[in-house]
Amino acid sequence: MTEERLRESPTVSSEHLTVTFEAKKGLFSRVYFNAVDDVSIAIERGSTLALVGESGSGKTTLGKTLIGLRKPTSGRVYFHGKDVWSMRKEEFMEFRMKSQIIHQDPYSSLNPYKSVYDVLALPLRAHRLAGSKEEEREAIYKMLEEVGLIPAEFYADKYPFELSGGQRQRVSIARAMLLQPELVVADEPITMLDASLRLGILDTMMALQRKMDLSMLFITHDLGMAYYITGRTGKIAVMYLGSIVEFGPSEKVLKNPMHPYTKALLSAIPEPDPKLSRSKQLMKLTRMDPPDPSRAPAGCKFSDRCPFAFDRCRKERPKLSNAGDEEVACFLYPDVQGTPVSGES
Amino acid sequence: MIVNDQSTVLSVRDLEVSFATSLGLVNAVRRVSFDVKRKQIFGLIGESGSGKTTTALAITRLLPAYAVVKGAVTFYEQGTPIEVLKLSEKQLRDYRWRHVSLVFQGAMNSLNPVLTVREHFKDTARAHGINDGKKIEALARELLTSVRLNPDRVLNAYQHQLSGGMKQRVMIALALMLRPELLILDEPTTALDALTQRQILDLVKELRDKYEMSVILITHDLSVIADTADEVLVLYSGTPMEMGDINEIFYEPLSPYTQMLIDSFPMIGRVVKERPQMLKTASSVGCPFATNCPLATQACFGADMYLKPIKGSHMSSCIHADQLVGKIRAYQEGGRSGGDQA
Amino acid sequence: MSKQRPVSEKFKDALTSLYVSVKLITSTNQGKVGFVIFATTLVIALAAPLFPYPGPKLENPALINILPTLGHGWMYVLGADYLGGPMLLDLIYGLQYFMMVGLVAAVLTIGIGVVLGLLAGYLGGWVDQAVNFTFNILLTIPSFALWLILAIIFRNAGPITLGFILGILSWAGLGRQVRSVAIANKAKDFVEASRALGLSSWTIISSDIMPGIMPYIFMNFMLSLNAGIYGSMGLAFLGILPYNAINWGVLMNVLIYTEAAVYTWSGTIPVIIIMVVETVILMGFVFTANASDRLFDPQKRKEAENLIAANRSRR
Repeated sequence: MTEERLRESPTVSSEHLTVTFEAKKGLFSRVYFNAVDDVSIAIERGSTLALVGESGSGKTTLGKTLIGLRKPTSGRVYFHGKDVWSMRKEEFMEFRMKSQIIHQDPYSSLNPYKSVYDVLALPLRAHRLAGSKEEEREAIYKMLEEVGLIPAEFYADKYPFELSGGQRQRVSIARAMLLQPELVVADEPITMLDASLRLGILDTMMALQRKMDLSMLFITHDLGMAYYITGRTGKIAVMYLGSIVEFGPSEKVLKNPMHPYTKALLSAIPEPDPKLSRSKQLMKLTRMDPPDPSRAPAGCKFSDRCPFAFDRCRKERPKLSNAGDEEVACFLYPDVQGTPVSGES
Repeated sequence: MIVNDQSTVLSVRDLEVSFATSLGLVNAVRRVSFDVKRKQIFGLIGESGSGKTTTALAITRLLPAYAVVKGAVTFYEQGTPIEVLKLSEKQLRDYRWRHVSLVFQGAMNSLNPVLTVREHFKDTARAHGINDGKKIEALARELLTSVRLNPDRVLNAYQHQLSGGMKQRVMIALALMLRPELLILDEPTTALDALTQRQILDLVKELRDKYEMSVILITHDLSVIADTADEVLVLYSGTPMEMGDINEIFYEPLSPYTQMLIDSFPMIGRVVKERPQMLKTASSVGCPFATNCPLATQACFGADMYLKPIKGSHMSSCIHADQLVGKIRAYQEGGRSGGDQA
Repeated sequence: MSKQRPVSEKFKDALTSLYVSVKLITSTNQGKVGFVIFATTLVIALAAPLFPYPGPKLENPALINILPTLGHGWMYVLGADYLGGPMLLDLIYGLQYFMMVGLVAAVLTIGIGVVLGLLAGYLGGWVDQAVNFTFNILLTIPSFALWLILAIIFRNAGPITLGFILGILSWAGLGRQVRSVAIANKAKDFVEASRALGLSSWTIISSDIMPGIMPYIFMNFMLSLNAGIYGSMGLAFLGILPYNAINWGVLMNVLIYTEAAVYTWSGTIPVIIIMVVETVILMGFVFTANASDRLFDPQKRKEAENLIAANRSRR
């Protein structure tokens, strides 16, 4: 691929990505299951992809594998078209620096022994990006202001124990943006924050994304938040037990869900409107408890909970295929042999 | 006035909680009054720092020694009033868990990792005078079934073998052990995913319907309140802002703060109004929302904030509440944009 | 373009942090006492070569083992030992000897313990299994017995060799502590964030994991120094060490077996003097070590700094 074509290709993409975990069951037996199961996905430059799923769906693992923090068991991860795990050391380092993560728990995502200034100074010094103390300080203060920690001088000296959850998350965001990344994986960054803080943090992230033309992978289990952050142009991928079961523009997927699992999720969430919320019909699944990833059924992984399951579902595994504007992996829809998931803004 | 109505279970009047700190007396809850009736889910909504957890702890007398509590909390046991704030230690032990029990925020993380669920039940039972092993077993089975858990699967399990939702339900089962009339749940669905959350909320409704319990549901999540609560009290910065029936609160909010909360809640299919940058006010007088309120006047900064009936039993502490009477919000159907129509 | 801060700036930073550390240690009364004792001990130990060795001897045999007196010159302020030399000098030379032993033991313990603990904890896998196994085996070996045997084997052990002997087992304990801290911190999100930022393993270890280990190192250093003193005193007392060392243990031995300590004043007072000196030094170590909380935990440090500022403004 020529340099130009490489730059045009999606920022990050994966092909048949699988990450296998081991679950010890008892002293002698070991069970393997795929936390991420044959996922092919792409994220375009400057776009937002919301990755939605229950706990145990593999969304965090997928996110971390896409930015190289985890090595896949099989399959490939591409950065601007280049296979990440066969890159040379310098290329891999560039990939590392250009893809960052914002963690969920504000209480373990910052080193308790380092002040806000130290946290941000360390990568600058390690990569030799500032030539003098003044340059370093300027860069750090500017970043703090960008994330809303104003006055910067005040917050720079603070240690994590002196900051609230929301403030800590802002520091995490500042740290992630410091190296001018191209892709940021935000792993449930607002789940542990109070409702009043959430939108403020999301707005900060979205503003930075626009400013820096970032791609963002937003992992969450909250469909309302997914809708908010993807806005009009973003996409959403719904994950279940390691596979993507539905994918498409969030406007479409969330208003007209196709896959039974997506429908179940949407029918279950409470709405901030009493009449609407109480008149919602919950789509009853045959089992409401979250599934055990090591005991996934043969055939479609959702078949043991799906109220619409029929024979074929229990024997074959559906592939994610095109169904109009969206892609869905379900035998209820006539399958069109598949172009894998692609993203076009 | 103390209500002597047969159907009232808990009556809180002019509750004030302050904490003695090195910087002086800090006010956490200011003059809160409300009633909880039998077979009612009473929703307490507020952000962090609103005083909602402090209120729950005050009702169960679980505040630390340096807390200063004023006002009256009256529990009605079959009509007989019990002044909670005046109970002795011994009387408190009878009161707690038997009449009122509390499931803390994040309680599911406080299950002892080296004990099975069965052992948790044994511990709790013994602490309250039930020592017969067979009786405890039967009770545990009954309780677990009532929270829709399979006793055979759960009794022998350790906490790490259970999912978040299951742990939460175990906590609720433990709280129900002595069949209290009132159950307080503090953020019962935080950190749980959509389907599990639905199970918990449906369970709460079942507790009210099937077991005729009263529940105080504390949360910061407006959609949980909208889905489940019968009556709502809105708290902000320790101050009661509005109280009323669920439909009154949502479709005709009589406090600009409530209105702001509803408008800024992300909902699928709706464009959300931008939320103002909220600065926390340190003053203990006046309306805490005044600095951000579109209706604010000079009087608001010194106003005495307590709930006054504005429209029947729909109460508000806003001194301009009358301006909001009649402004009905549209029924939000997914896809239509929200807004109010005068 | 690669930029780096000049060396002079880094040096200034180091000096400033040393100054701040001292201020923090001395911010409480206990810290002040501890630091003064510790610093004095250090200074004396370092300055020992300045004192005359082997020192004056009293000519008159009748003056052997005199009690503290000023009659024979300032050096005899603590009395004379069984050879007629001044007790004061014995204590000072002894101190140098012990500190040397303790220092070698401490460096060995910390050096090996920290490195192995970090490797085991951070790398995991078979490295961890192997190292952990080693720790566990070593911890079951009775240390004093091993010291006895080794001291006998190395008949002419000087202070450095002795330090090695005493340090030979003690790194296992520290190693285990370091390993647990490394394991606990490795899984934390901020370490993963550091990896995402492209920081090298070395940087991650020094910046994210070491701060959690520093209190253990600090404590361990102080206690190793002290163990050096006790260990070598014990061995000398039992007569295992070469007799030529002017060693408090040797003195104790002589005092108790030859000079009828406990039964006579001239035997007992020197014993008491030695014990008091040793206890005071240990107190100095422990009090200083207690400050490790303030030095390394940001929350405690801020509290201490506030206290210092408040005190300063009161003056």
